[in-house]
Amino acid sequence: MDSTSYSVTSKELCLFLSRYAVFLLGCGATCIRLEKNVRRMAHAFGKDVELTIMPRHVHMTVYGKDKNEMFTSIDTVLHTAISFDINTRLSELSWEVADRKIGFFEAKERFESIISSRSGNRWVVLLLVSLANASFCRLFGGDWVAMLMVGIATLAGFYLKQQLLRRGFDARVTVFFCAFLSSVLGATCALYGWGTTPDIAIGTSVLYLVPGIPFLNSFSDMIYSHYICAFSRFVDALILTGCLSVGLCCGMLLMNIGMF
Amino acid sequence: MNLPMFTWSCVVALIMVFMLFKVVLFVWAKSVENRLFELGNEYDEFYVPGDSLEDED
Repeated sequence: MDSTSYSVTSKELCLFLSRYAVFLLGCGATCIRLEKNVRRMAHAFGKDVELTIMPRHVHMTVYGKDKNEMFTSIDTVLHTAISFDINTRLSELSWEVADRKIGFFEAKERFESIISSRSGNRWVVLLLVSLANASFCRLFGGDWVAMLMVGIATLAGFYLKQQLLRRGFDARVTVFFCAFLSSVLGATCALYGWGTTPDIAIGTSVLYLVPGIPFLNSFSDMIYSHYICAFSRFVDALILTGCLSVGLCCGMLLMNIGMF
Repeated sequence: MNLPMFTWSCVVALIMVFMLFKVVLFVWAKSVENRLFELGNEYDEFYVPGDSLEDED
């Protein structure tokens, strides 16, 4: 069967778009991107779509132009790791559908291959995150010793984060432990009197745990009037920041480092 | 030993033990994969295709 000339039913399209939407939202897309991508694909198949995006569910109705045939589905948002790579590839998929380069079945196949593809090498990610955080330390005025200690603290903390998340630990507990570990290791300069900027080393050793993407996404959702999602993401980010702060404070208290 | 030094030492010791454990595990897994020395019988060494198999003897 020619995939591009196949007349897709509202049910088929709704089930596909629903799965697409929960994956896209789960991997860190904003609500406006989700809306645009889903509408773009629905229009390419000659259908219209109405969707309600809630923090944990996506409620979607797909219907034909004459509204004779309708299908509604509710799907739960998947809690996958935030991935800009998958985010980008899913958006590209929506453009390929919109440009009529691929048909419905090929789009489904492509979608399955995207969501089942492995994310980047975790060792490379670990190394790059450590280097990035050490660079942050430099940006904040840290010396080379501080940078080295921040790099090591980040390496250990991020490795712990990867391991705990892989084993299904709660994200808040994970952030707390990682912040504690990184702050204790970041305090090495202060403990042994190495370098001239030990305070910067401690302060920047936990920066990799700041939930930047949820904060940015909540702001984007707020601009486009998705207030419920915006509030939910903001609270999530706030809780993670709280866990980070508690971990950092515990580390600093045990290392006898004054906070003010 | 004061509390900061004790805390720091505990954390670093835990990391060191974990790293050592990982290295030992890695080396052990590698050595099982490609054994440098292995005890076997001469049948393994002198077997020529066409010989009767051990369990047929």
